[in-house]
Amino acid sequence: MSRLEDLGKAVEESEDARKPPVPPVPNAGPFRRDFFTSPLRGRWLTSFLGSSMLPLLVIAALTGFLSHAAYNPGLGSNDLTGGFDVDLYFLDWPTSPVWLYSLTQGLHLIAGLAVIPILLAKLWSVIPRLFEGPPVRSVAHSLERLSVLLLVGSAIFLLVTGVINVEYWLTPLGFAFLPAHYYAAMVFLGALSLHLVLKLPIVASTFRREGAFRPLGEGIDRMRASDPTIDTLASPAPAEPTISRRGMLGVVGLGSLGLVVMTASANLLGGVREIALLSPRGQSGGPAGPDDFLVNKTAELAGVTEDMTGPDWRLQLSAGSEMVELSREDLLAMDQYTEHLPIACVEGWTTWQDWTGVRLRDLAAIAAAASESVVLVESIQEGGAFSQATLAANQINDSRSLLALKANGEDLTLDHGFPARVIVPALPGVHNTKWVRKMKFSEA
Amino acid sequence: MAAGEREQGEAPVGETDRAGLERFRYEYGAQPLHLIAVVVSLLLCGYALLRINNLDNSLRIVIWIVAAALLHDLVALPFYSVLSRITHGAAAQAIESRAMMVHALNHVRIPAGLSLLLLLVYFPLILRVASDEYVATTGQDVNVYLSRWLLISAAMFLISGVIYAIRLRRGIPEPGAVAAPPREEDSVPRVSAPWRIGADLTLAASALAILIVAAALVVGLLTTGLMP
Repeated sequence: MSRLEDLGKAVEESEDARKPPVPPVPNAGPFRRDFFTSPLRGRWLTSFLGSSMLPLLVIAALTGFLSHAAYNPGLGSNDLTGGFDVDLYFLDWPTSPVWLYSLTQGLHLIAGLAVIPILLAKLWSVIPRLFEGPPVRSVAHSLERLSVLLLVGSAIFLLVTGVINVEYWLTPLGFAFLPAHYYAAMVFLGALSLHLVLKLPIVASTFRREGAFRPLGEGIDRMRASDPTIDTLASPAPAEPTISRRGMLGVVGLGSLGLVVMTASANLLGGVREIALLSPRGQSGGPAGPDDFLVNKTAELAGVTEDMTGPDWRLQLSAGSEMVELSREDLLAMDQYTEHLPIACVEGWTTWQDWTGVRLRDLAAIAAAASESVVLVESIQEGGAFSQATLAANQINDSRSLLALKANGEDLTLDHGFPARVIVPALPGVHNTKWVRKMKFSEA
Repeated sequence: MAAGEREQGEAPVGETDRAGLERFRYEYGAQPLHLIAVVVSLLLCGYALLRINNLDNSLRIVIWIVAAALLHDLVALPFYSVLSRITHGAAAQAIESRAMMVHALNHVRIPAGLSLLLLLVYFPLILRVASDEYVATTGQDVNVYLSRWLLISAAMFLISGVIYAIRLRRGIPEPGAVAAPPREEDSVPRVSAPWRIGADLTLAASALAILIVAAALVVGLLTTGLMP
């Protein structure tokens, strides 16, 4: 016995002697390789989490850029990202189907929220990598680590800013949400492109070796920790499992599902708001009645009072130097049309109402605007990024585009934009300007 | 033949290439393709960072991006480690049987984890840190979120507890006993008497909790204006 032990010790010592000088990394706490003992960690788990996240990231990125396109950034001062030097948006945002923006933006929130638990789990699965020594092995390795810092940082930044923006907690940011979220997404995609080039081959070989779904069949009794000599993500000192990999993935999936049900899905296309218990927009708009639908921004916050919208209010229409002024009575005397259209907010919620008012193209005719004009719509509201918006010709000319005077048969309330508001199919909510004061037509 | 000549002439060039490639890999640490991918990726990031630089308070944005990664690592890791050590230790001390311990642990930590996830995502509403902005913007009541989160958490713990109690009644097999074929006299679940009493108590408590939570839900929904 003792001779065997001695032999073991001798082998260990001789191995130690052959090792290169110890790198200047503390060998304590998380820097010890055996600090991380979860038997769940390994290439398969990380690959599976990454692969589940990828389609969600693609959806979030595509719908994010589509949302930018939906604002028609090429017109007027619609672009709030500080100007893009390359105009990547060739399309005029369509007006059909009317729920288009509701769908793309609902998906943006669903995908983004569903990513949160998966990203947390994936970061957990690779956290030993953070403490691996030596901290810098080569130029290639240090560039990779820099890219990972940008990848993780921008991912968390996007999720945090996105979530707190829809919850109206804007004070901690200290910067404008929209351009920061937009360009952070580009940082993220830049870093993600390298991550995919480097890691997709590893994911593919892992799935070939272990099966993409086979480990899902292993309960806690059959599950084995990965071999740390071939799987660098596996723990060298795995503890007994207290949950199976599929159990952990199930909990992560349940978390994703919960977040989706709690917010976005219940708001998608104006769905079942009653189950969106924790959604910032999970409540009804106010006392039951025709005005009981969501208010994006109250009149009080916009600084709009009843004095400004009283009998003296006039709608100013202009094309070139000519100006026409219309009172609310004048507008009500015109042909009235009723359309069932959604307000689809960038924050992911939608509300469908019956809007009654005059067609934008009839107003364009009164102003004697040229047929392919665009229009700058200005609100009574002073300041604020969305106190004005420019609409494209296809949006003016759509017969369903209205300057609404009524909602569900009743006059608009002040919070909903009295005396008149724009409502255009498939247009992002905030571009449906409320408390309209001026409409200035001009040739594009 | 032209092709043959080319082959002959190229052989030494190929070897020089290989030596150069080896040298590159030694100096850089990876293949040239890696460098190309890194450069493309960093250029994309660099472009976006340049655009951020043109925005107001650009430094804050960059700091937030880097801080987000560091904060996650500095907060999440100690959090996970401490939490797992405490819960594992407590569960292992309280319950001798490993299979029992694992089940008890999961039936507590899974609803707890999901509840914490909801808190993480919705804390500005739940803890009312943004109540002024929320009320001013939406004109709605921010006070509903705390009670809703509590009720949802209670419901998750309840469901987990009920499933746990049912499992206890059925009996939790020890690892190794799984494969053993069921025998005639095993019709009674293979659990010790104290555990069966515990299971009965849990079931009774769960039934009571269902009533309480159902009542709380109705009252909560009525007072939050969710139900007419």
